[in-house]
Amino acid sequence: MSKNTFGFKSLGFGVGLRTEHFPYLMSQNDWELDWFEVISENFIDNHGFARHVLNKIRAKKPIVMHGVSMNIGSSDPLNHVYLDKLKALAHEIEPEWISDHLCWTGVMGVNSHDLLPMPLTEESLQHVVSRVHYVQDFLQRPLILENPSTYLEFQQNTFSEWGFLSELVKQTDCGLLLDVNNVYVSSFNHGYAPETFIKNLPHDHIVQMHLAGPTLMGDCLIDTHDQPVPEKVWHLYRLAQSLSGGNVSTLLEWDANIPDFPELVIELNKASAVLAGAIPSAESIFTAAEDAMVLSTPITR
Amino acid sequence: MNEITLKQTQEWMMALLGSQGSLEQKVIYAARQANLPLAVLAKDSLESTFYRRLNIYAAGYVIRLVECLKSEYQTLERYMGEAVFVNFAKAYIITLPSTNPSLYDLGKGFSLFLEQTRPAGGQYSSAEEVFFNLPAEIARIERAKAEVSLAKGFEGEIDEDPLILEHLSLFQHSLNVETPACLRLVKLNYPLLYLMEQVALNKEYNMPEVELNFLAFSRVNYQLSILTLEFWQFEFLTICQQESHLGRCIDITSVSSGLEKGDLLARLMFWLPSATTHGLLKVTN
Ligand SMILES: [Fe+2]
Repeated sequence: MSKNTFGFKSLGFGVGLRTEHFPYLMSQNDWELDWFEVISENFIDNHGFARHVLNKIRAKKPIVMHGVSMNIGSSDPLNHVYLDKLKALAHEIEPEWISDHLCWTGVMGVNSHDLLPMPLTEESLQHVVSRVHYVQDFLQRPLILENPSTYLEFQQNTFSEWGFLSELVKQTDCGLLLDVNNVYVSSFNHGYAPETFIKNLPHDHIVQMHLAGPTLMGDCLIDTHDQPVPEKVWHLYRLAQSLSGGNVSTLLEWDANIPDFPELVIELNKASAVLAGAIPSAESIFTAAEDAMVLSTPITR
Repeated sequence: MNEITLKQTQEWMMALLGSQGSLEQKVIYAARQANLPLAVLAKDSLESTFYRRLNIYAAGYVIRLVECLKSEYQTLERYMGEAVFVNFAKAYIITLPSTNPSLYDLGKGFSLFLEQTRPAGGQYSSAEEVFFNLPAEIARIERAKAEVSLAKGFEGEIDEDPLILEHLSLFQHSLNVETPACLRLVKLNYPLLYLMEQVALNKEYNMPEVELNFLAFSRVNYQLSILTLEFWQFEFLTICQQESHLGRCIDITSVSSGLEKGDLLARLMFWLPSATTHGLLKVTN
């Protein structure tokens, strides 16, 4: 496996480990993909069947731990109980890396279980920088942070999101999980070119990419993780890969209306075809029914 | 405009998410709570967009967690009906917001919440009383099942010699007893297992009569196992969860259950093999 300049190996192509697929995964001995991503919170404090499945998979495939509750951007203190458990889980399952999101999930002790948007200010940057330093020291490894989908921007913002992420990388040497779909969603929602976002990142620090399909609701794209990857996202993915060495670990996210595992692998395989130059042309953006309330950030099980 | 701090912004947004009512009411509440009017956070030109986009977070917050409760309390949702269930779930989320990084804890207090929000006594007939009493009890059963699926069981541990339970070895004073972390013991005022089966299958059922009953939930080879208990068995297992010396567990159970020790030993000799195969405990040397 090749490594990028930041020192992480390329894992190839993977999907998220989801409860719906447990029976299939347990009935097979190979799964025709390279690696799996697990939601850290689903395995912290879980000693049941899910852990049994994870152990079987871990014996054969690389695993990445992807978190949703580090709350790295919150003005609340970091949750040490959580960090201890995260570290303990990492000790047991030895993931290739640990990621979370550039966001906040709660404040005043409450967890919203959503990925909430950061005000992109100098104050936020210095706050996140010091917390990333702390977490990296604590976990004894680089933290990999993902750009979330956002639906609003604060008036006080002084950074673009890519500018904020670039500064964060410069000051902490953390890695990036570039969610190409989230770039597409946020750029559509805030009216900038997604290519500008992708072109202006520190590409040598992109450790992993996420792919997913969003849903259009009114004038807003929502990160629903329940659709095939649309053509536009494939183009952005190819651009991002070409700028980052062409071999960055890729993960397909699908968290609601989850297809059967073999079907999911077919969708994942489009990613390698895209890198070889074949962009699927048919998938347009799924549009929600007019009165439908579309749920962003589905809970992943 | 940079004087607005990260903390102020986040407290404003969290107040908005955690408040009740329409989006308009939420915005007014958050502005008052965090002392920040919307106009300070949103650009003038984009204020109406900002306002609408807030709803993706505000409505999504509650719906996401209601979905989570629905998946934990599937039978309860059927029993109450979706609309009633969702009303209680929303009220629960707003009243007792999640404070834990894990979603496994989200539904922990739901049964108690249902119990505490029942209509006050005296406002309804005795037939209605059963109807209002059942949700909290159904919730306790579904919560127990959820917890059983997560905690550590006996899987992967070496099986004890089954002969240990044979003959008269129970009289040996050196034996120990161990219950798995996933064992849940539930005491109920109504017999509910049959009713819950019928509800899950969308079939008719009769309302149960009050009847104190005891259930044990555990896991065998990652499969849920449920056993109806007699009072003395419930007492014995409760004590075994705190005390590892079998002889002492028997002594304490004898007192708390009112059974003579000889009688209790005889009963245990018949029952322990079944309790062991159901993953409720194991007896070790
Ligand atoms: Fe993602």
